[in-house]
Amino acid sequence: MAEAMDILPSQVIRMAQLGRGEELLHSETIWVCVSCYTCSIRCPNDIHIAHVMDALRERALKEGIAPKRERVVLFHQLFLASIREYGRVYEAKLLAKYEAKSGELMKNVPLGVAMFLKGKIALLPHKVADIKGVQETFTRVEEGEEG
Amino acid sequence: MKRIGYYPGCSLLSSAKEYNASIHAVFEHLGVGLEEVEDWVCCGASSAHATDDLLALALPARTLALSEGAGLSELLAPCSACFSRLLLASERMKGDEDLSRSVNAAIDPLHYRGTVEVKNILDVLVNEVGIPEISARLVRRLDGIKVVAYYGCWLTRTMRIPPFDDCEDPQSMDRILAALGAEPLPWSAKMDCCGGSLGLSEEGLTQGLCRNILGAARAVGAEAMVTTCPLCQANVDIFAYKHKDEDIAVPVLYLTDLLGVALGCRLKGGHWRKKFIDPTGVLNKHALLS
Repeated sequence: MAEAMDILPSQVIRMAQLGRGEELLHSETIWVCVSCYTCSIRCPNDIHIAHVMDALRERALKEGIAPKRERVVLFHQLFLASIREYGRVYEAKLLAKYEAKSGELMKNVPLGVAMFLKGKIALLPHKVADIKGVQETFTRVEEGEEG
Repeated sequence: MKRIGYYPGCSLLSSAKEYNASIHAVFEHLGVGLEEVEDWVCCGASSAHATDDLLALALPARTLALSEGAGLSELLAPCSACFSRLLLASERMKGDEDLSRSVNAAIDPLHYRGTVEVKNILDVLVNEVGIPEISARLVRRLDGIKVVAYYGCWLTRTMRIPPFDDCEDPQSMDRILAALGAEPLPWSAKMDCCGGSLGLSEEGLTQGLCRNILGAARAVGAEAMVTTCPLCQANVDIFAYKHKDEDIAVPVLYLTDLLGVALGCRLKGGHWRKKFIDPTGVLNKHALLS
């Protein structure tokens, strides 16, 4: 994925060392990184670079910095909203919401129909019994970070 | 009968339903009982770890605590993303008391003490069931079919936790396939990333990855790709389906699909229709469906 990055993984680490974190938070790289862990596993200094990317993404979101790849963040938010509502991902609703909000309405509809015909999309959500507990976990994580 | 905790994960209830079905069929044939963790929750996948570290630990910790409470010492997570998230959460909590305290506070009244061993499906098949046991139960050899074992990213990239197989050149799936009589070919993309969760949101970025993987499989003459990860299967299979005009398609099967055939499991009639790139031509060519 390095070809789509504006700052390469090795440069991310160097810039962090040089105190240029602000540039990293605004970079394309943090949202293009797919977390494949290839750089982490091969780093000669044993730096878990992919985890550094996670930390940068988390900070960029908390600081309200507009992400260079909005759809990536939108997808993550809808994915987590689905877990918060059901405890498990409800793909049908996630995909419908993503289509509606990403401005890519209808783009994936033919694929969605094909998946539906193959029985690859569950019609109903699989809601966990202790959904209250799951929602409490989300709330506590949020409150812990605000406080 | 040996029993092991089972975490299907969200994909195996929807886009990878047939993977779930073949896993159950295969493990039953191998005499391993799968005990599904009651009320398991989604691992959070990439969306949690890419946005909130504490949440990325708390979601798997809920399932780990439920498994521990049910007396399960081992937990099989067939999806590579689920496996990675559960394993990393478990190991990070074990090694860090402060972290463990914050995560447990977020999941209270559940509590995870750190006693569950998270396992991926290759590890269980090779190191617990064992290749001799699999070989002994074969009812049909897969002789002649040329395949490539596609491991993807997360099975062996377990960071500071020693991997169950070589992290750059794993062999466990190749060994299983060889034991079934198939011919696993050496190839360059066995560990390449399919694009993971960006497959939907940034298709433009990830299609180069899928094109390379399919190209590498074709270059060595593979008749099918074999994987154990539902994300890898979906991304590559769907990419090939969307780009039919490029003539790069290769059917993408789950390892348990082929194990099911070799062990004589009854896979439902619609099983093979779940794939976007139809594998029945290749399977029939080798007389594996009759």
